[in-house]
Amino acid sequence: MDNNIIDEEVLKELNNMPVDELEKIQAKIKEAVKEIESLKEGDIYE
Amino acid sequence: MSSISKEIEKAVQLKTQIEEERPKAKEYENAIRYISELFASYTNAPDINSIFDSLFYQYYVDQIQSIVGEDYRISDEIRYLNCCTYFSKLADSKETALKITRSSINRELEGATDEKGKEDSEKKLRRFEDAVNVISNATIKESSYLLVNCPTLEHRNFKTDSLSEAASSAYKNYSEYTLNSVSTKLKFYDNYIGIIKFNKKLESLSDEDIIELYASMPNITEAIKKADIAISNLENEKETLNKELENKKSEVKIPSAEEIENDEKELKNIYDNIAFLGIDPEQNQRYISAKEALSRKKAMIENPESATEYSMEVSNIESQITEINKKIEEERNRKSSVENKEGIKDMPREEIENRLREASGLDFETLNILKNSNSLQYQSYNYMVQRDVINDILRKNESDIKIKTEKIEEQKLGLSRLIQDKEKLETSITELDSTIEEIKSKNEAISNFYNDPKLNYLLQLGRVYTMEQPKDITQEEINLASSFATVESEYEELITGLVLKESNNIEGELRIITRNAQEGRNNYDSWVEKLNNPSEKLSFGEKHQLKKSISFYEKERKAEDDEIIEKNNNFNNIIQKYISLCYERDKVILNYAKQNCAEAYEALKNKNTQGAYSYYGNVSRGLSVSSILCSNSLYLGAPLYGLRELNELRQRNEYQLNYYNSRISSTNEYIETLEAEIKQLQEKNAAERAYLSRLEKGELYPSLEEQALYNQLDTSELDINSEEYESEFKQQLGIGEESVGKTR
Repeated sequence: MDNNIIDEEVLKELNNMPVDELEKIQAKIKEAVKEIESLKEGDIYE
Repeated sequence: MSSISKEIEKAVQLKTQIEEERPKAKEYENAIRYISELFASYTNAPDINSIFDSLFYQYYVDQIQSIVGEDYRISDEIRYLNCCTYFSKLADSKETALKITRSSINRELEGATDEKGKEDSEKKLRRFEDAVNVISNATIKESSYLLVNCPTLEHRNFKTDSLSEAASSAYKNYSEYTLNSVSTKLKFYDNYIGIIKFNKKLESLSDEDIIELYASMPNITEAIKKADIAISNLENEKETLNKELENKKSEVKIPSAEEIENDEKELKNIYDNIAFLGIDPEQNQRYISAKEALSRKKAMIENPESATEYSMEVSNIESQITEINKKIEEERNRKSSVENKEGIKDMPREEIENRLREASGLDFETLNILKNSNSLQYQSYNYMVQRDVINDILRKNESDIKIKTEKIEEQKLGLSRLIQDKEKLETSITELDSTIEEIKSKNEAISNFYNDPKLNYLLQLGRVYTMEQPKDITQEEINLASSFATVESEYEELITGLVLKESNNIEGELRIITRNAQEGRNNYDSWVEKLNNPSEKLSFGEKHQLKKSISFYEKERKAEDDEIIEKNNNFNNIIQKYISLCYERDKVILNYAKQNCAEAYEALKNKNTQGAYSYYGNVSRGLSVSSILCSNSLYLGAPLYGLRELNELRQRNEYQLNYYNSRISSTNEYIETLEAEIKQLQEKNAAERAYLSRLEKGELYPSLEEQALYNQLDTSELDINSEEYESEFKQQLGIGEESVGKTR
């Protein structure tokens, strides 16, 4: 269940972040999503 | 570390955890499989719910305690109460189930008579204890996979062969669910950052810059490109239709007699040219088309109304062209509207910003949800995420249902083949019964032959002549001698016929018996090979079926088949020699008897009584010897032997019939299991849909009032296992019996 909860604190933090900081965080997020998606697609259950 | 960095790190850790848990889950799945198999083999119980449930006892307790301790929900509380009742019933069965298996292995160990047997049992016991430890120590997610996959605690009905598949599938579901959740959440943050950046960018732009930005948006340029392609395609389509229209219009005109005449000449030319090439013009497309076109023209002259059909076709094409023209116009307008910067200049800035938002591909809807943020709206959003995950599960279940339905079709096909084989076998048994009857009557005939009073009298007579003093031949004796010759001839016929027929019978039946034994043995060898061949990708169910067949064969048939095959290899040769020897031997005896009979008859006719006595003596001795041999040889023995073998064959067919019946019954059982699984999936989907519907209506999350009420509850001194507590609890919250049946 915790996996789904969007943390309000995180949103506030993002709202107050400068653009260059946002860029860095977004790049990290994209990287993490990519890894997770590749794990989902890969043959992880065999 | 910032909150967002922690979130990212948490997601990555979760991903790593799933990767690391994989081998543990596999080990766990194998342990379940091993214990399940042992339990099933010792108790002959296909349903091992009790041991399975009991192995998860501690897990359930931990799970529920963690739910109550950390993230309390009304539906979880109800589930907790349900679980407590359930566990109280399971507590005993856990010990019983494990005790049965453990003591069975111990009994084996005690009963082992040789070193190898002892070693095997010790090994088995060690493996069993290891497997129990693996499952008992499963405090992490391995065990939760199964829980997640079970719609309700009360409805789990796993069979032995589907248990480890269920464990594996549950693990997959759990992993997919977790990965989907973290990925969705991260994508949300990604989108949110995109929106913040987008808004900041918009704020920094002048009105002119905004128009430029709009025109340069990838979506806009993409839209223009798409419109160009669409227009070009439509133009091509229009051109094709125009050509078709021209052709049709020319066909609509009623042809003149001269035109028909020319066409006929042309058709004949085509015919001659094609025929000249040695090709049948009636098979040639060019000739056929020309002929059809001429027929249409002729029909139009004979029946001018047929031209109307062409007119309708023409009109149809014209309306298609009009439709395409409209589409082209629409595409052009679309293109011009996105291209027209001048038009945009006149728009209010807010409108342009809205268009830019639309073109950005960012999810502003989510942003709007979060604009007026408070706890319940966040939950609404979270439920939306859940909705996507549930839809994924629904899709997956539907696909499982499809696969299982196909499996049922496959099984039904196999079943129909089995039934056909069974029917053949039944026919064969009926035929065997009739052959057995036939042989019985043959045996009777042979027995009767040996018991024939006439033959016995002759034999006795022979002895009398041999042992007593000679006396005058009477007329009666002459008559007897004459009939004796007839008997001898019948006897010869019988010997010859029987030896040949029965040798054929024996050979035939032996062939059938041996073939069946060999077939059985071949099947067995192929099962063993398939099972041990790592390149065969066998499902657990298939492996189980193979093991079952192998064990069934080893127990019921193998020793006997092996003996038949071995015996037959030697026996086939021996029987051939034996038949041949018997035949030759009896022919010699018969010829000797025949010769002496003839001599005796001649002697009697010549009143040479002394000579006749001597010949009769020879005949009698010959026949006596032959008779003794016959009783031990194939004449009588062969049909008897054949009868025994036929009875064995019949028994074997009975065994096969039972085997088919057992296969049919287990196939039916498998189909029923699949149908039950489909039903379970359908029920699961129905439950998911109901959950989804309530989720969308906002019925599932407790209202702020309910939360406040819960916060006031003091549960520390209550016996939460009691029915009173459950009832009081529900009363306080004002809810009915309800179980969502899911932990998300």
